[in-house]
Amino acid sequence: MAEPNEQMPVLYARPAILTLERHRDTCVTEITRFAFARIANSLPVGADEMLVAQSHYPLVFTASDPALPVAVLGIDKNLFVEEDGKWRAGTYLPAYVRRYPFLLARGASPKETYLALDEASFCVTTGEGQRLFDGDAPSALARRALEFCLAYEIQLDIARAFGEAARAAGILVTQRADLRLGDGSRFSLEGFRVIDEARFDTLPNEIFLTWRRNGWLSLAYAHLLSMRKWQDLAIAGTV
Amino acid sequence: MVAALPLFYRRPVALSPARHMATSFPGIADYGFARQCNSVPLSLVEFSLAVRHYPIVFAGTKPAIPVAILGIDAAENLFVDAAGKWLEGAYVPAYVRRYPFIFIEDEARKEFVLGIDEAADGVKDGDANRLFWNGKPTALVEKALAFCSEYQANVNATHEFCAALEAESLLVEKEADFALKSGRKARLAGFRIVDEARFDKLSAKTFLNFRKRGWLHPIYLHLVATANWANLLDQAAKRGG
Repeated sequence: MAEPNEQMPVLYARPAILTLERHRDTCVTEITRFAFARIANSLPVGADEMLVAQSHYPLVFTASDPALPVAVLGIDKNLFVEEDGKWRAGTYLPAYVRRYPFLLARGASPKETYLALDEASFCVTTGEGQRLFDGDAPSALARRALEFCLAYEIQLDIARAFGEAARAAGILVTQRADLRLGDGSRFSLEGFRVIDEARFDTLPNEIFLTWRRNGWLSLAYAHLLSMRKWQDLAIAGTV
Repeated sequence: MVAALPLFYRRPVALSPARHMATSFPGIADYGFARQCNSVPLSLVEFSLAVRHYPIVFAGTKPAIPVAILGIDAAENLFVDAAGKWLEGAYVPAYVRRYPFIFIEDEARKEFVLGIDEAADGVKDGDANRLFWNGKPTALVEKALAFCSEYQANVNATHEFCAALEAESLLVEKEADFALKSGRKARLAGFRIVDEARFDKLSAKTFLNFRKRGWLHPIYLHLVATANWANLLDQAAKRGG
């Protein structure tokens, strides 16, 4: 699991590696209410979802290194979780949330990965929902969760590599967003970075071609394009 | 030879002080004239604005013309309501804003002259908002001329871009299938898009040339704008479609 001094991933309270011994009778209920994600004003995004998420949220880079691409969901809280806990209709549900309560835990060597789940989650029960084990074998749910987490991890790795490449190329700049909501109130959000378009346009050709080969150019454009979503975030905040 | 008239235009005529001595035009009252078109041409400089709302594709014509898709059915513009109002906050393409003015090619003199669609609503004889005054073009015409000149320059740059896409065989036929929230299914066909696999295979030399010409930005915007097909469904759903 995480190093003792490593920060707990956002939304997760008590992750534990899945074991037959411990979770023989554990069940997970399907999540249709997302109140648990209301505290997150931003969440990490994988590379593939950046292309879709750009039409819903501003995609920025974290202020601290590594420069991770994250979707901005609100100023002081997530504006896309409705009163009744539903995710706002018609807006993209980030894979980070869809993965919950599962996640991957690293073992002693980097090659060792285990499926883990947040035992503190409201959806982890005994008796209700789907079982994690059928007899001694992982259930279909557990296998699906592992598959999802593995695929997601690959996309997170690509996104992280892209963010780090952008930082290394010196094209990330610290920015703050000043939003004026419909009721006249003002908010600002600080502590994130964006690609400086002028610097991006002057990236040396050889770096540009490397980015092309790595599939990072579409990610850069998705990021740049997503900046239009600050305006919608202000609108979302007024409702 | 009679060429097909450009979209929206029914009777475009070159402006002349003699013919339009008493003609007036108070401006476009609404966008009702665009209510039945499901796509309009775009120029390159508009991509970054159009991409906020519309899928950007290329019309099936040769040479290719970039267009913003505005509706699912053939005679449907989801962004113009029954009163002729363009959806608030959505970008109105320059092609639409230009109407009823237009550049008409004077074949003999090989140049463009400013024209107007005499059949447009609001174009009629009157005292206010005259096109000419004492035989001289008014500020209204000067403004239209400036707009059309800039528009024409943008269209020319767009043609160069499209010619390059054609030369590299990057465009492929495509259709879009929709499952509307009402349960109805619809298909939009007859357009082309940049084929990502072919685009990825462009030689480094060509790719860098595209970069130098400023053509990568619009290509990526075009590719990313495919996410906007969902916007059309949302707009259709608002109308119960």
